[in-house]
Amino acid sequence: MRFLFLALKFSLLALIYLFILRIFYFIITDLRNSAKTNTALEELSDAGIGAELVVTESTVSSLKTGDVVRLGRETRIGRGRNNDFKIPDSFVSHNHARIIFKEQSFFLEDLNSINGTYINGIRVRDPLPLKTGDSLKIAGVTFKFARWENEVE
Amino acid sequence: MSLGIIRRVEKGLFTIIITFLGLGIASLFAADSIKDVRLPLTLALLVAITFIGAHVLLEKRKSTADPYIFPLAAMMSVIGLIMILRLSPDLVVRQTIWLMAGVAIFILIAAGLRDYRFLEEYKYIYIFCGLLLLLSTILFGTTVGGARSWLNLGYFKFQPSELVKIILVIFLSSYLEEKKEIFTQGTRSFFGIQVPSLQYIGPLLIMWGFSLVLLIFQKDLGAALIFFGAFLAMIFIATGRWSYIFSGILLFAIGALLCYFLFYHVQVRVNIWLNPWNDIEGKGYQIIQSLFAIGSGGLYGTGLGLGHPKLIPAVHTDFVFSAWAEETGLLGAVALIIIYCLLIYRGFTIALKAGDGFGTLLAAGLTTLLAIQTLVIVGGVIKLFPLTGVTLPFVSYGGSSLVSNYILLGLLMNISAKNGA
Repeated sequence: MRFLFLALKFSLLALIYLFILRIFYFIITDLRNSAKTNTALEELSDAGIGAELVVTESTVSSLKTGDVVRLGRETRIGRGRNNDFKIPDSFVSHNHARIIFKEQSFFLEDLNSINGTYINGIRVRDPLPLKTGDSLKIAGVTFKFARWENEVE
Repeated sequence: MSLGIIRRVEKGLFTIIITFLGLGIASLFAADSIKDVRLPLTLALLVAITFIGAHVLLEKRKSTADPYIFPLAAMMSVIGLIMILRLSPDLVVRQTIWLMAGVAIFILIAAGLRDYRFLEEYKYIYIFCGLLLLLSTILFGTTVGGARSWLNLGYFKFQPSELVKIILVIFLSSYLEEKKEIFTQGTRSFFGIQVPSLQYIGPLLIMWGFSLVLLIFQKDLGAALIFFGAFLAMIFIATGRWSYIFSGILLFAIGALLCYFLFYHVQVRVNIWLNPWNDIEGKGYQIIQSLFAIGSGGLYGTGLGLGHPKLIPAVHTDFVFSAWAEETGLLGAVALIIIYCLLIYRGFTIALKAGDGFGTLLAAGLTTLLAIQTLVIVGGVIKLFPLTGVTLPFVSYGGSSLVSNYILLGLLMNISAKNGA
């Protein structure tokens, strides 16, 4: 009987620690993986690729001519709080547009915004790659797109 | 993590949990602590089906929500169920029903509710309902264990402050997200000294007053402490200003001193904490029995069903940790604390990964609620702090506490699903 109690006691403790160790194991694997994806994001700047939007004209008080927005793998633009770049203007939709980096280009995609996104004066319907010097217009704000590629030392 | 892996992790963890439940019941039966094994086994089966059902639903909905927090909470619930079966078997049916109800609401919030962000919109309605609930306890409440914080609804008693805690955190997240610029900037120079302006200190004073009212009218020390602590943590997260923490602690100290001199029951609590040995047979009895129980557990405990935790009054609610420590020892107690730490760690991870300010504040606030509550009660039963009667989240007996904690967990799941954490 005493042996049974001992066996039960320690197998219960063993189970609870097995549970904890498994969670530790999964969390650590998870952290390793996310560290890897973070490196993938950094590759963009390591590869010497960078892009930015420079404000050239603005009717929105919080944005001034000359302000610079650095672009990442994905930059979401809009009035909503969850955007990477917020434009507090009522003519801007909550999720207005986004710029994503794929196939070595920065693509502008309009997210069915009400007042539209314009590149060089033409309204964007389908995702479009941006070229240096393109002018981008969202509501009362105009940007100039600039992209560079540095040599990696 | 990809979708497939996330839910597979969960499945593996639930296998361990259900085995643990079965083994726990077997231990209790072997120790002769339960006579008839049929009812516990039926209940265990029901609980297992509930957990597996919830897991399958999450899988069906292709939920990308955090795969750890639900198993962690389920493990605690199972520990709680085993301890209630051990300590007061006649309550175990009720607790099982509450647990199933809790998991059902959890799934509804985690997988049914589309997006937590709609909560941001109607904040004044919630806080009004929350205050109404609290007011109703002050007016019509019944007193249990010295705290007037229960509503008697005929068949069962309900403790509104458990629910109000969550409502308050939702309100504060929405409010602070909207006004955080004001709180971050609001200082004024006064004779060369930086003095916080009224708009800066106002909410702090209101929350402080609110906690004090709770304390004075309900005599609910634990709830007041949790409310105020969660508020301080959230305003700090929103503004990043240490001065809120310092002035908050100062206000708390003033409030605590006031209560100490004004209320007899607070004095009693503090005196017991300082020295329970003066009144071993009377007021110090509970805490001394708790200390004896923890001490007699040793390194690996007496074994489930083989200790004497029933010597502690209110052991199945406030003192369940002592009973667990007695029967599984230091190893079991530390394991339980690690499980809490992991849950709190995941909670803050979800807060960090949440894409919007509201989500971050909400997840952090809810996690803080859990963290402070665990700290207060575990610290209380091991005589680290003066004892305040709050439940040990997910483990203690108590329907309103269990269901509210599952609501909280559901909200955390919802936030993590949205942001693919």
